[in-house]
Amino acid sequence: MSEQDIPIHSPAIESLYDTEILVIGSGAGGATTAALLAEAGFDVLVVEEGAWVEQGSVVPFSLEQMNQQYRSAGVTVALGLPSIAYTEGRCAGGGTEVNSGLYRRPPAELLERWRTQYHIRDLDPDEMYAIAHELETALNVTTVPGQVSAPSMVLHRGAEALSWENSESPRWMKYPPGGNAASGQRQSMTRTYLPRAHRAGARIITQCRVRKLVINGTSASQADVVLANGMPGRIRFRHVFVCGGAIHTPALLQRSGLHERIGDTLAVHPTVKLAARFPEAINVPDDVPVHQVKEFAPEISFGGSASNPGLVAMALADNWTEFGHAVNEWQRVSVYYAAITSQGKGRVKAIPGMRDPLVTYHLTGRDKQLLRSGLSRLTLLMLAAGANEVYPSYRGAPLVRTPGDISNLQHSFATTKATVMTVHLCSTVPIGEHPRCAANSFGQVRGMKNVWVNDASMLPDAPGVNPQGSVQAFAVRNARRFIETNSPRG
Amino acid sequence: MAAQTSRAFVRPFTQCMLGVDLPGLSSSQRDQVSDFAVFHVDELPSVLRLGCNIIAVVMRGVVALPNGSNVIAWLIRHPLPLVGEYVRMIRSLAYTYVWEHWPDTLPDGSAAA
Repeated sequence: MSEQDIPIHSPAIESLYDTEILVIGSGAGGATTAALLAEAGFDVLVVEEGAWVEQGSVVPFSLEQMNQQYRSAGVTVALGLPSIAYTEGRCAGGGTEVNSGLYRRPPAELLERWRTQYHIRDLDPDEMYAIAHELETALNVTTVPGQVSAPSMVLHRGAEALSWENSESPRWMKYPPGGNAASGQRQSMTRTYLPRAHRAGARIITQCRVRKLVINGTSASQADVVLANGMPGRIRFRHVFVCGGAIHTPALLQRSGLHERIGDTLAVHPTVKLAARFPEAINVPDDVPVHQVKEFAPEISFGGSASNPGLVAMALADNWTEFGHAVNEWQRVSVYYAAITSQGKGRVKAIPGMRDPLVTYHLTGRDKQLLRSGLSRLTLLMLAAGANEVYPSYRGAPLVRTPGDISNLQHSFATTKATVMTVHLCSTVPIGEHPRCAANSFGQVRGMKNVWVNDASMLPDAPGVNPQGSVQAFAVRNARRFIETNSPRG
Repeated sequence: MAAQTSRAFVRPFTQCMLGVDLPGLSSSQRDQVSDFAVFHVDELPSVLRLGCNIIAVVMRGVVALPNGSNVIAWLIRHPLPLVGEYVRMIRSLAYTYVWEHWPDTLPDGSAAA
């Protein structure tokens, strides 16, 4: 059998696996870590809880995709007042298979703040930007060839009318020659870093849930897992990189007996939404806009959401009697969001006897004000772009047709009436030398010799931009440090 | 066990809510949407599923009242803490399902002419 004939992945069925490096999770952090370590000569095994779902086999942003590629079929909530709905990928490639594909480098001022506030050792912006450049090449980060989609133009047009700063966010996407906004192919982890890891000799097993790590003193030696057939299994390893995302990385560490500062500092970018109706057809059901409005960044950013008819109906549902008529014109409607950089904090807590952790999040008063302000300004942006009607997504929201109606919105908005959501979760195992950090500057969990984190959980706090670029840049940095200080078994 | 609980308690509530909210849906559509809601409650993370099923038991009792659908209509308009979140979640799931599968559906749930 030639190398090309070897399947890139297989369901977990062996009751015992042995490996030098176990990487738990195959998203932006896990896949990147696996590729670099395998290329450096380490024996790498990647375990993924979800299935391998080929791109194109499900419609993007559809309920079927949620069933197949999201944890809990896409319905997960951080409890609080208000509760915050969030989504996480659970499939080979993790969130990179289901997210917007937008890319932002970590801003220089953010790196500097993280370096000084969290005492991250050897955090060199030049090194980080050299890594970012590598990532951008590997992922083919690029802008849309030709005209962007109509809902994206709405953001651009509205911002220009108001003289607000806006730009097209590049994406990791490949376009064929002469292609357009609709012809891109996502360069997610199943297309990039996982095949790269496989080519370097890494094994990738799917449908394998890690229950806990077996820890003796300061070392972990084994992972107890549930295999694809529901049977228990074991994976023995020399080092383990936990890359299960900001919720399930801390939950796994806690289930394994590691608690110190782990899971106490969940950070998110909370968002509120609206739907807007325009005179012309603008809806693109299976893609998201690429423009973002950054006039009030990093505190508030505006962008576009997935807007298939089902999601349009959901955005209108809180005021169905007043707004429901718009669903029959869904081709002229699209959904947009205002996201904030929150100063609130959340917790992830594994509960004995329960499969999933309890997740809570507390918005501060300042966060709530920013959400109100963000939704008001987003409404103004839509009107400036030519919207006939704007439908803010909270109970009791007014139908907005003119800028004068926005004062009603400002008076009636409350976060407890709104559907607050997020797709960016991070910072539950923050890195740095500061006492509040749960892992050292390179992701090694405090007090452990061979347990590392290398995913969104390691970011010290919410970056205020799409976090995938930051996650991957840190993952490369930390993997390289590991390679410098550890040798593959001969 | 959890799946049986969801089926026994979430389904009747969803059926009743759809009858109030989207009366034009056919009974077969209502069945499909209700099955979808039950599936999603079963898929919820552990703690949420437990909380949801507790509320679902209470709401099942409400549905069984002689004027249960009036109470459900009132709860849709006047969301109470926790119970309101349950109502909102089931409604959101239902609306998303209806318009993703039948995008020409009118706001009252009936099929477009």
